[in-house]
Amino acid sequence: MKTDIFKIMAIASTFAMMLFAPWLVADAKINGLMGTSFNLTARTGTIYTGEGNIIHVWGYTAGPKMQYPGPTLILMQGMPVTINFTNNLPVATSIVFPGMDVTATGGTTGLLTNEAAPGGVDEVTYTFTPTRPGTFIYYSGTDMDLQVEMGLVGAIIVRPMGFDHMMPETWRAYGHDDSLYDHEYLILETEMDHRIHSLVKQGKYNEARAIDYFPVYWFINGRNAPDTMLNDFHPLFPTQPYGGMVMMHPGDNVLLRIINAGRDLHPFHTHGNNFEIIARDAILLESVPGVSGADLKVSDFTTSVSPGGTEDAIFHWTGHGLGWDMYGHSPEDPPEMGEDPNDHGKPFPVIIPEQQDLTFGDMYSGSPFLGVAGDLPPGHPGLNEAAGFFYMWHSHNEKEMVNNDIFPGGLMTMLVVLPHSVPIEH
Amino acid sequence: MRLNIEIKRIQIMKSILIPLIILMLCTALPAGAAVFSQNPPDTDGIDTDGDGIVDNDHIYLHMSAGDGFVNMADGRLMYMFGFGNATGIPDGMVMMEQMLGSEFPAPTIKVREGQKLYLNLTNVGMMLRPDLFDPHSVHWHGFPNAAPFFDGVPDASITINMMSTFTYFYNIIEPGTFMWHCHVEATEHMQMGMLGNLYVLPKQDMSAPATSLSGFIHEKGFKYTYNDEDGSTYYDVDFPIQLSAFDPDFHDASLNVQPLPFALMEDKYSMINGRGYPDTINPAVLWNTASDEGLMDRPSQPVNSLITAKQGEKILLRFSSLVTTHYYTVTVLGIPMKVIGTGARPLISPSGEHLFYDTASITLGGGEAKDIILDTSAVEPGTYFLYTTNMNYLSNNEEDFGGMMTEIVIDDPYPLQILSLIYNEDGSATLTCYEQPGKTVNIEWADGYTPTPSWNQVDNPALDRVHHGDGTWSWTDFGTDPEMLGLKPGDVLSRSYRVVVQ
Amino acid sequence: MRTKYIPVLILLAVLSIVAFALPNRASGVEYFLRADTVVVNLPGGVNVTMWGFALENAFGETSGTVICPGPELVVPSGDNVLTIHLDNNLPEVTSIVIPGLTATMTPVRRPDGRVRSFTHETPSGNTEAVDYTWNNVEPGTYIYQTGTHPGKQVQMGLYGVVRKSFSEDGSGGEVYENVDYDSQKVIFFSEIDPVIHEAVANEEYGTGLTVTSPIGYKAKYFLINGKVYENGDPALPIGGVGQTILLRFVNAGLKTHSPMVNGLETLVVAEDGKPYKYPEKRFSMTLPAMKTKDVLIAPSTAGTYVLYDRRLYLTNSGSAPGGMYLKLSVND
Repeated sequence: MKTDIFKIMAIASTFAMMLFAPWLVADAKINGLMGTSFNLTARTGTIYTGEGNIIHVWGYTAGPKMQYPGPTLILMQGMPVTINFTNNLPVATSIVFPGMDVTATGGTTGLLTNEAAPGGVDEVTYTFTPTRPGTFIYYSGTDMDLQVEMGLVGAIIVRPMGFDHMMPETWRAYGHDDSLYDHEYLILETEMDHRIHSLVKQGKYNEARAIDYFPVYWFINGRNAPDTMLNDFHPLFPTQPYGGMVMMHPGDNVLLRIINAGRDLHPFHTHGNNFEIIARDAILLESVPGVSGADLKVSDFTTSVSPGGTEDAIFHWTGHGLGWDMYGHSPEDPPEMGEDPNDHGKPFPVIIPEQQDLTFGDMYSGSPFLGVAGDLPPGHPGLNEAAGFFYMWHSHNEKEMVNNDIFPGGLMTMLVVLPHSVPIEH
Repeated sequence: MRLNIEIKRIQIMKSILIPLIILMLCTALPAGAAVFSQNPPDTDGIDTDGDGIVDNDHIYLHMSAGDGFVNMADGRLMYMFGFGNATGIPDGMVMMEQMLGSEFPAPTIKVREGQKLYLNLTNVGMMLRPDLFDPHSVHWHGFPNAAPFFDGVPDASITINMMSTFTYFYNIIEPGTFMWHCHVEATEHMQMGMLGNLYVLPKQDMSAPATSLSGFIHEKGFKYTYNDEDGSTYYDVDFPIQLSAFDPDFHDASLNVQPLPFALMEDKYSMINGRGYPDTINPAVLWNTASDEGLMDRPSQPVNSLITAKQGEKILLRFSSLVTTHYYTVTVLGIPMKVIGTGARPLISPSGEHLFYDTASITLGGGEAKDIILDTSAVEPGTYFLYTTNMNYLSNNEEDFGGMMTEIVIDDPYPLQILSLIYNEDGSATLTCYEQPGKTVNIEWADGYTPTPSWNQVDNPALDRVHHGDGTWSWTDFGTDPEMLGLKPGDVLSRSYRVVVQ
Repeated sequence: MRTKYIPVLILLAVLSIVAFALPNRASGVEYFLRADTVVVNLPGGVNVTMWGFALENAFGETSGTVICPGPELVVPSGDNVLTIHLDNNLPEVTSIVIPGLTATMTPVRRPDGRVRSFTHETPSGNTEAVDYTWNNVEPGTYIYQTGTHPGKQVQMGLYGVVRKSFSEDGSGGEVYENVDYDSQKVIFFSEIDPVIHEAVANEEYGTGLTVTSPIGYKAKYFLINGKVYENGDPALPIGGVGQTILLRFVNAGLKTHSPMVNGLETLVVAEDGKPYKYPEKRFSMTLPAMKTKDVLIAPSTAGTYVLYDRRLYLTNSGSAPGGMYLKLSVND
């Protein structure tokens, strides 16, 4: 019976979260630090897990407070970058930037790169010029089995030449139109074994390393579900600034920048439709580099990004071909923008059972139709007043959809396809 | 504490379990609940699946969702949640017939592009967990441009309560290897076994004979994985290969109404299509031993994974994984593997270029699917093995020589065997065999059927053979013993024969 | 007229075919290997009994050092045929298979019908070599491994690498047609769970004994080229600046690993001896259990580059740094 109490608690917490800040105020963009010069510090701090636990974490930050993951660095192709790095951790640490040709100065020489001593006594400067656009990663290059686990990871986005945030027609991930998008989202995957964090907090580093690694928390952008569905910089999560809610309109192209910053593989599954993987490790999948466009792109419904690697995928959803009118139109109604003309006015194919025979999901609008809310039973939280279509995006190693012993949670978020009448702000 | 619960449970089951549960279900639910399947006729007057018939494009399935038992390959009885096939059972009998009727894996759903599937799902309840009132759902994993209403995610839709029926509708417009599972309490219900194979045959199969697919000539009966437009995804035989795994502690905790060990979940039984080796190669339908729990034994594991083909044939393996904890890498030893599709799409570029690739193993996480072609044309007839290279999982928990493995039998298309032996009215006997090009075949005979026959070679083995021109030849034994000149009917009746390659 | 099948007759011929299916001919390249026991020393004074292979000049010499992974078997560019003559000094039967190559397989089963060996066996203490032949060795990187009781024997260490280049030119050549390299190295990943080795060494592995199956596998040591990393390890010279260096990644561990080379990107040109139509430029990759990947690197600066496992198996049973780090040195 204990289990069922936990379930009820988890569901209740989902309710509470959703009521605090429904998806309508989530960010339809990737927040981060833009520029060419950054001052980063490694700090200790705590994060909240999806079921309310607190974990001791190490993270990179540009401010006075630790954050997890580190700031997303948004860079311009060809513009040299300087990162001044100091260390407030109890042990030496560093940063590596896979895919970048880095020069490191200052600090002391470590196994992989220059390291900053604990206590902020010195400074390491990393400089590099991102020669190609795409999605990259950064993480600790010191004692990685502990320090990556402890949270020293972050995302890098390099904008291609000609990118202008104010001009949507320039929103490409790469230099080619095959990477044009309407919205972009970050999916940074990590996992944690909280026993290691407890031991590290006590300074028992070798004991922490000796553990048979067995993670029980899985994250998107540093948060567990259901917190992934709350907006960026939500006050409940002072050290976990990035949400993971995904929003689009029918017909939009959504760019997913998927990063595996953890050590395990995570099969990330998108409900709703396949996506097309257009790039891996910031290399467009093309037969003739720089010429052919993403002609080697791969369509899939689940993707497993290599640990330490990145993928860019375009997700597109139209609702075409359902065999019924997803707007609930009569044949004489005017069609919606982008509607499948073959399905216009086609009746809903089945009889829906009576309310008492059904369990109603929190994000069900009361009708099968997009933009049409229907009757809901008393006590339903009514979280989907706009009658969007919700899809779960999650790790399909389903164990990774729990927070320690509590389902649901983990490496999971939601896509909502909103009717065109509901704007999506960038 | 735990012991008490177990004793109590067994007592309940051995007495009045079924009537009790039905009573509980009836009192727990509103009076409106009823099994109600929807099977609307195909009246649109259009042939959408390409078979030339306008009124047969609707497909009706009826699945039940509930609990049951299966046995692991080491014999251990395992409590599970699962689906059963209620198709064809009258609505009024589905509850009684299908309670405890879970199968593992769930019944395979095999449909064709252009069909419209009405999938009725009746929640028959979890008989051994009367404290649970879980709804169930169907998630067609990978369905393109899905609508949430029929996507099975409980948060985003509605799900069906016990004793009632929800009808899912799928307008099937894409072929490929998908999978299906319950999405309610997904971690729990999937670990407990609510998962199965699902694949869609392409319309290209229905092409008119002699149709040229970019030069590849289609013939009736030719089968393809996708609408490749060039025959490159052709196969002769196909087998769904779904990876799954069970954590016995989780299943026991569920049965014993204990807290579910989500955090500690660790699979110990690694399976293919719901069985561990060597059950994977057992052609029989496996019955559970639910009688150990005071219930009726039921057929619960109908699917074997023995892969058979004739040398020269192309085998399509429709791989999917619905393992809930980790990745498996799977190899086929001794037969080349070609990956032709992933995520229910062919590896063909927008310009039509093949992006197929050769490999010796594939790695699948939960929710991943890949289509593999095994071309057996350069493979000697014999037995080969498909198994995980994560070799600690070549075990059924504590039992060795098991786990995620099955066998692939490649038969000689023209086996060296006696196809027929006919006793003629004149007393002679005619035996017929396949031709063995390039090999010298001798015929030998022995008297009687003794365990250790004394074989005699027939004289002039190549003489007197009649070659039929259809790949077979015959030879007639008029008696080779000089003493038996002047044959009478039955004179060679007691002889045994064999054919031997020299 | 009566028709009658006589089932007894039918099995006959299949058996006689099998007898002819193992040609005892030795053409192409031949290696004499002895499977034998070796004790490996790990940091912290840990000694682990392993099974490995020694290279011999002739059967029965009992010469050569037993190593794990086993000796590199090179198939010259012009050869298609590889024959291994096996001498089995282990306490039980064994065999050799090569994933990624086709061969006629004659499985051997246990009395209960389950397969014990994927192909014909070499008995313990055999007095004549048992031959394993592959007639179609294409260029590439392969693993030879035991085909007997793999859940146990692979863990014990019965694996090694087979490599072949499309063409050879001194230390360089083409690994596949038109895929050039100037120098090459095998990078071999493996793992050790000492519990299972101890059980096997003490005859405590098997039904009814301490360890009954490999299900409890928990690797504690993570090795590259047969060695865990320790502070002060020398760097492995792999080539010079301006050269294209072929790294043949091989994983005989039971887990997936993710090799990355700090400061370099790699061009992945093949897996399991099958060249990619379009090589992939990557900074990350996965190397699942029993897979090989051929990658090219082209360092533009001399120095030491650190290869590591991004799965972060970077300890020696708790002490760090350890595990799957490997220093690579590139000279001017």
